This record gives sequence, structure tokens and C-alpha cells, in this order.
Amino acid sequence: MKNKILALIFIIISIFVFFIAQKNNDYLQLNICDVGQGDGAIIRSAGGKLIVVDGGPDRKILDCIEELSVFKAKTIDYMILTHPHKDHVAGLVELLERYDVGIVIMAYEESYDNDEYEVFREKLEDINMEWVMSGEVFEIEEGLRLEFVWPIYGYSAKNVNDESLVTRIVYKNSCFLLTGDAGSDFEKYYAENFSDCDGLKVGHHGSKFATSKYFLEVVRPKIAVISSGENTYGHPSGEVLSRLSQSGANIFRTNEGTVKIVSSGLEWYIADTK
Amino acid sequence: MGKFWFVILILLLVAMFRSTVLVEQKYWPSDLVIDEELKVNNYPEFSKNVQYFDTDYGRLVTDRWPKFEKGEILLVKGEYLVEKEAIWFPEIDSISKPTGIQGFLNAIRNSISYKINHYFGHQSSELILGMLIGQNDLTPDLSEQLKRSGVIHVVVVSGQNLTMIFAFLALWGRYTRRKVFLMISVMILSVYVFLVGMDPPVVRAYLMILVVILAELLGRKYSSVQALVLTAVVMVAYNPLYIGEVSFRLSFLASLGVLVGIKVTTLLNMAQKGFLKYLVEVYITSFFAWLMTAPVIIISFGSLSVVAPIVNLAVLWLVPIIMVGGTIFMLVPDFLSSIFSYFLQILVNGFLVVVKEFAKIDIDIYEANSNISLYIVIFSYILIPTLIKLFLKIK
Repeated sequence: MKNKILALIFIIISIFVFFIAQKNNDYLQLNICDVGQGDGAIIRSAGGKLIVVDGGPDRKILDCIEELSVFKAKTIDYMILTHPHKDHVAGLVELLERYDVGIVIMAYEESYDNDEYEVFREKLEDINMEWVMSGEVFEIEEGLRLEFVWPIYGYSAKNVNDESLVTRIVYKNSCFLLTGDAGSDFEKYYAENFSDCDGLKVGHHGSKFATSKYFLEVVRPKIAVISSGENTYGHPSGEVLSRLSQSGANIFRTNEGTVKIVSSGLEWYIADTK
Repeated sequence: MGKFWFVILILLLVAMFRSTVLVEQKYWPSDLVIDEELKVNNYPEFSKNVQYFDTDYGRLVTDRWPKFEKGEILLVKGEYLVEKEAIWFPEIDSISKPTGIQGFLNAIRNSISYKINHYFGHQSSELILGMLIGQNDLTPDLSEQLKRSGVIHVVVVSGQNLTMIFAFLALWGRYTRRKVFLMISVMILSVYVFLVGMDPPVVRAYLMILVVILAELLGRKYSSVQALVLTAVVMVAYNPLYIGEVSFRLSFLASLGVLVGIKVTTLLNMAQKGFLKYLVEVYITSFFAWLMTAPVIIISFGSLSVVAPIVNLAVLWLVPIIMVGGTIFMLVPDFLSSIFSYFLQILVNGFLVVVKEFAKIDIDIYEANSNISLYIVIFSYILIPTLIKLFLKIK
């Protein structure tokens, strides 16, 4: 009898914990993940929706996404690929192996000679796809929308980095700009057509060919996150770090750990950096 | 000399004779250009961002993606590098996917992998899939933690996990009718062998265990240990090269450990009852299986964590329960899967928490590659005779 009561208590507590763990937050979480030399960001909306922007070069993104919920989520609602380089797409292939995906959003339609990108495309056969360009907006839930600001229609560059899909995450009155590896063409266009944004994922892992002074003068980020790991390219460059400091942004780097940011809708603040 | 030992002696003589015929080393003396259709001979394994598998030309190492399948025919253009002892990152085009039984097996493994990956976090699923179908796809972090805490062997297909299931079943078998036990054991073990792909190491372990089960069932007239020794020696007589294989040694020693463990639990005649008694028995049996295999693990996996005995003691009993739980999880319908996965997750988390905490301890793991012999010999020569003496005493 005693054992049965203990078992019953155990089951009730388990079910209680199970349901508590499913509860949604009233704020938006954004993890700019420590994926090594690459890009990977995950957003968990206040309503519990999961949005992934790039996946990094390997499986590190899996740790990052699992940190966002007590029990493993089964569905990623939106998956965004900025461009088909391995350091952005490989982790998405790993995610496609483990999650159901609602919609995959891309700007880049052409084939690209990269094993991981080819596998990624093969895995998209039964998944809804959206091809987007600058000006398109996705309303995710009340107060949260994704605005795509680059590339513009007809734009073509020699380097696919410059064709990166750039997304503004707008949550109520706060804004965060995820720039992929886009360079000076995008920055010029943004400076001419858009306004400030509190948060910035610094372009192209902190390469000196992105994050220009005029771009920073328009964006005026309070938080700037550089996503880079061990590399031979010199990322992030000293020039970019200096420009960011001069702009007044607080700089965070993923090589020191995943940068965890939250927003209640007014502004972004750093929750943790490990 | 009894009849049994006479038969063993004859078989060993046969083995010695055959070894002179069979000894062959398959390697290429110099770099070799390859432009051929090759078959994937085993289930591909993964390490970091690399995938590797065996072909008729030896090991092939390539990128993690795309993943290839056992039995798949590939057009391979590249070089076999002597320095790497492998066909090193060649150009590969898939010619045809396997059909028939291998195609069916691949489909089952893929569906298991899909379901486990969907319901469990990646480290949990890597662990469960390693235990359940011998899938070697650990992230570097988890692999390092398992090595540091000395339990990497639970996710390596060697027949040892088969022995773990056997230990689990054998304990349960004592409380049930023999025929029922035989049928269910053979069924469960067969399903496992089927899932891990009927590779020679697993099939050999399977045969050893079947013989032991049969001996147990036939009663006191047959000694389980004698049956096990006889099976092993017949296998060695058939192919003396088996004796050099890690998986063969692990299967044999783990089975022997299980038998010792079962005898010990019988001898202890514990006062506990019900589930607690059952847990203690699984615990003791698993521990003896580990103890017997420890020297081989040290030599084969190159290192021994100093915390290994404690961690093994703490988590090894979970392995057969997770394996059986994982199998049941695969069989339950989807609407029950979430709830079932929750309970299985608790067990897996328990395993991972212990492994991770012990892996953090900042003590160098003992590297077995240099001056191994002294430590190994001392360890083995104290351990194994003690166990055999213990076994003989209680027989």
C-alpha cells in the first residue's frame, strides 16, 4: 500500500512538472549561438514558437536549441537560411533530421556546389518553402513579426555572402537585425531605406568588409553580437571592433559562449553569455 | 582429464592449425589510385564532421554529409593513402541503394533513429541509439565525457550490450516458467541482433548467449560456463583470427561475468523483495560483466578513467533498462510516445548527469598507449583468478 501511494505521488509530481515545463514565457528569447566559426540564432517567441536563423557548421546548434525548453521541442515553426555556405547551412541539416519544420524561408534559389546545401535541399521535399525578398513581412504572432530587408529584387553578386537574406526581428517596440554575411551593398541600401534597430548581429563574423561607419550611424545598436570562432580570416577584425566601440554599442562575442538575449517588447537585455 | 577438457584441447589444436592458413593482413603497400564501384560493407560511423565505413579496398573516410547506407553501391574516385590507412576524402557518386533484406533493415534503423531523434534531445538520442542499434554518431563532447568517465563501451556494438540484455532477462527468467523465458529471451535477443545489423561480432555473442540459455534450461546436468567455453572454442577453431578481435573477447568475458554475477546473486540470497531485489540483482550482474571486460576495455579503447569503477557501478544497471525501455518506446503508438519518452528521459538523464559530473573531475585519465603492460597485467592477474576462484567456490 505504501509503495502504491509513493508511486502515485511520483506520477502526479511528474505530470505536474511536465505541464509546468510547457508553460510559455511573456518575453521573447533570442540565442545567438556559440556554433564556432559560423552563424546560428534561435528565437523562442512569447507564444512558444521556435524560429531558427542559420545553423552553423556542425551540430553545436543542437545544444543551443535544447537550452530553450525543458523537454525537447518537436517542431521548428520557421527555419531561415541566409545563404548556402557550409558555416550557415550544415547545422540546419542536423535540425531537419530531428525536428518537424513548418516553413523554410530562403532568398537564394539557385543550386550551389556544396554537399551540405545539396542535402539540405533534398530534405526540403515535403516542407513548405517561401522565397522572399526585401519588403516582405511575416506576422508570427501578436507583437512579433519578421521583416526581410535584403536582398532587393534583381540583385545579383559575385559572392553569395552579399546575397544573404537579412531579417529584422521586430517584437513590439524592440528590433534586432540579423545580417548573415551581407556586405557593403546591403549596408548602403539599409542606411538609405531603414531606421535604427536596438540589436545587431554583426555582419560576416566581424569581417572588415562589413559593419561600416555609415551603417552603424543609422542602426545605432545598443547590443552588437559577433558570431565567430577559431578562424584564419582574422574575424572579428580590429577595425570593426573599434567602429562598434565608437558607435556606443555593447559588444558580445559567441566565441565566449552563446549570447542569450531577451526582450519584453521595450528593449533587449543580455540574460547570459555562456 | 575429463571429456570436456579433451574436446577443448582438440579444438584448440584445430585452431592452431587453421591459424597458419588464415593469417592474412589486408593492407596496401603504397598509395593507390581508386576509380571503382565499391560497396559500403558496414553501418557508417561518425566522428566530428567525418563519416567512415569499410569497403573491399579498406576503410573509406569522407564528409559527414551525405550519409551513406550499409549495402549502398558507390562510384569512388580518389586515393588510398597508406599514411591514413584509408581511402581519403574521395569523390563519391551513389550508384544504387540496397534493396531486399539490407534495404529493409536500413529502413527499420532509419525509422528508429527518426523517432528517437524526434522525442529526445540530441545527447540522449545519441546515447539511446548507441545502446539500442549500435549507432556510432556521438558529438565530440559526449564522446569525451563517456571516455573520461569510463563508460564509452556501452555505446559500442560488441555483443556486450547483448549480454546486458541477457543478464536482465536471465534474472527475470528465474521467476518465470522456463519455456516462456526461453521463447521471450530468444525473441528479444533476435530482434536486437536484427536491429544492430547482424554484424559478425553481434551474431557471435548471440550464439554464445543462446548456448548458455539452452544450458540453463536443460538443468544442472550442463554447466553454463562449460557451454560458453565450448562455444567460444568452437568459434576460435572455425576462425582463429577471432581471438584477436576486441568484440569477441568482450562478448566472451561479458557473458562469463554475467554467469558469475548470477551465481553471486543466488548465493547472496538477499533479504530484499520485489523491485528493489530485482534492481540489486541487475546491478550486481551488470557489475560483474563490466569487471570481467575491464582489462580488455583498457587495452582496446586506449585509456581508463580513474573514476571508471565508480561510474560503472553507478550507471551500468541502467543500461539494460534503457535498452528494454527504448525498445518498448519504439513499439508504443504515437499518442503514448510523449508520456513514455518522459519516463525514459528520466533514466537517460540520470545516466548523463552521473557521466557528466564524473567527467568534470580534473584527474588525468590513464592513457594505456604507453607502458600499458605493467598496470594491465597487475590488474588482470588480480581480478580474473579471483573471480574464477569465487565462481568455483560457489558452483
